[in-house]
Amino acid sequence: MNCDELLTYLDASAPAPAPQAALDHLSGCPSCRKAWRLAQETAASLKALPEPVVPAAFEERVLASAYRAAGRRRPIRVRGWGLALAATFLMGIGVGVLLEVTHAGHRGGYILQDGTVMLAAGDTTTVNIALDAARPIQDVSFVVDVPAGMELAGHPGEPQVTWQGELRQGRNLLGLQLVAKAGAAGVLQTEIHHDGLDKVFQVHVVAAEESLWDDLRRMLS
Amino acid sequence: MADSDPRVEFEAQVRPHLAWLYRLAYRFTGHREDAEDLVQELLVRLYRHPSELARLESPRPWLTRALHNLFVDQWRHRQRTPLGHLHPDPWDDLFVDEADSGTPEKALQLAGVRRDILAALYRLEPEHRALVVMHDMEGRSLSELAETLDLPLGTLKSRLFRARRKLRRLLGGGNPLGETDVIVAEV
Repeated sequence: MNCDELLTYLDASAPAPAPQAALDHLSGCPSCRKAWRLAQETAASLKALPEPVVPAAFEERVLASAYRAAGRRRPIRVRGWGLALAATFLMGIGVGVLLEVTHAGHRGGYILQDGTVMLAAGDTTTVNIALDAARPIQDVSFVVDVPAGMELAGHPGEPQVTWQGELRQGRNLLGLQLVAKAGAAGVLQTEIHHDGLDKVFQVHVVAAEESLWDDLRRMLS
Repeated sequence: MADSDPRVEFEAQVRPHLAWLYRLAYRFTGHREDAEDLVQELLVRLYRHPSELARLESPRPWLTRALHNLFVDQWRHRQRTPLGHLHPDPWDDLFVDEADSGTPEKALQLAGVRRDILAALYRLEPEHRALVVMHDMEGRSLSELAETLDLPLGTLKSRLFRARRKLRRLLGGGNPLGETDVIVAEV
C-alpha cells in the first residue's frame, strides 16, 4: 500500500480498524500517520459534540410564524419610483423603497408611468430594489416569485428563489437579474421576512419582443 | 370551536418532532438563527399541505428528507444571494459552557480542535456537510440514509468519500506527494 492508496482507503473507510497492509505502511510513513491520527480525531470529535440546546420558546415562535405565513393578507403593492410605504418602519426598514432598472443588453429597460417595468426580451435586465434600513438588520428572509416566462439569472427554471441575508444600515440594493422570454408578463414579487414581520413588494413586469422594442423606446423616451 | 381549528391537529402532529428537528437543523446550519429559520420554513410548507404529514405512520424519515432537501436548496441559493451574507463562527453556541467555565488547558485544547473541525465542516458543500452530520456525527448507517433520503447508496458513499477527503485537506492531513481523486463506484 502506498500513500495514495492509504489515504484513499482512509477517506472511504474511516474510522474502521486498519488492515495489516495499512498498518505496515503507517509504521514507516510519518505523513500518513498524521493523516490517520487526524481522521481518528475528527471522527471522535464529531461523535462527541454536545447536543444543541433548543432555545427557549422556540416551538411557539416557529409555530406562530407558520400560521402567520399561511394567513398572510393580500400584499401591499409598490408602483414606480420613490413610493413610500407606511408599514415598512415596522420592520426597521425605512420608507423610500424605490425601483431602478439597469441593463446588460443594449436595449435596457423602462419604468412606465403606472410603475410597470418594461424589459427587452432576451436581455438580462437588473431590477434593483433599494431598501433603506434605519439600522443593521440580521436574519432577513427574502423570497422572490418570478413571473411565468421569466427567471432570475443563475436560477434557471425556478419560479421561486429564497435566501437568508442581512441589511446594512443605509441603502441596500436587492439586484434581481431578470431574463425574460418575449411576451412574458406578470408580477415580480419580493417578500421580506424579519422578526415575525412580513413585507411584500410587487412590481408588474412586461417583456417586449425584440421587433417592438425600438418602437417602444421611441414612444417612451 | 377548538376541535375544528386546523392548528390543533397540526400542532399535535409536529410538536413531538420540533426539538429533534431543531437539533438536526442546527447541526446542518451551524447557527441558532439559521436552524430556527430552516425549521420555520419547513413548518410553513407543512402547514400549507397538512395531508403530507397526516398520512405518515412514522414521520421522522420523511421529515429528515424534507429538512435535508430544504437545507441543501436554501444553502445553494444563499451562496448565490445578491446581497451576500456574512456569518459569525459556526456552532458557537456549542462552546458557551467551555468558554465560560474556566476549563483546564486540555479541555481548551479539545475545544480548539473541535472548533477547527467544525469550521472545516462548515466549508463543505451542503449535501456533503449534511451527510457527515447524519453519518459521522449522529451515527446513522449509509444504508439507512439511502432509504431515508431516497438516494442510491453509491451516491452517498461517493459523497462521504469526497466530504472526508476535503475535511482532511482543510485540516492539514494531506499527502505531500499529491493525491488522486477517486470516485467510489455506484452500488
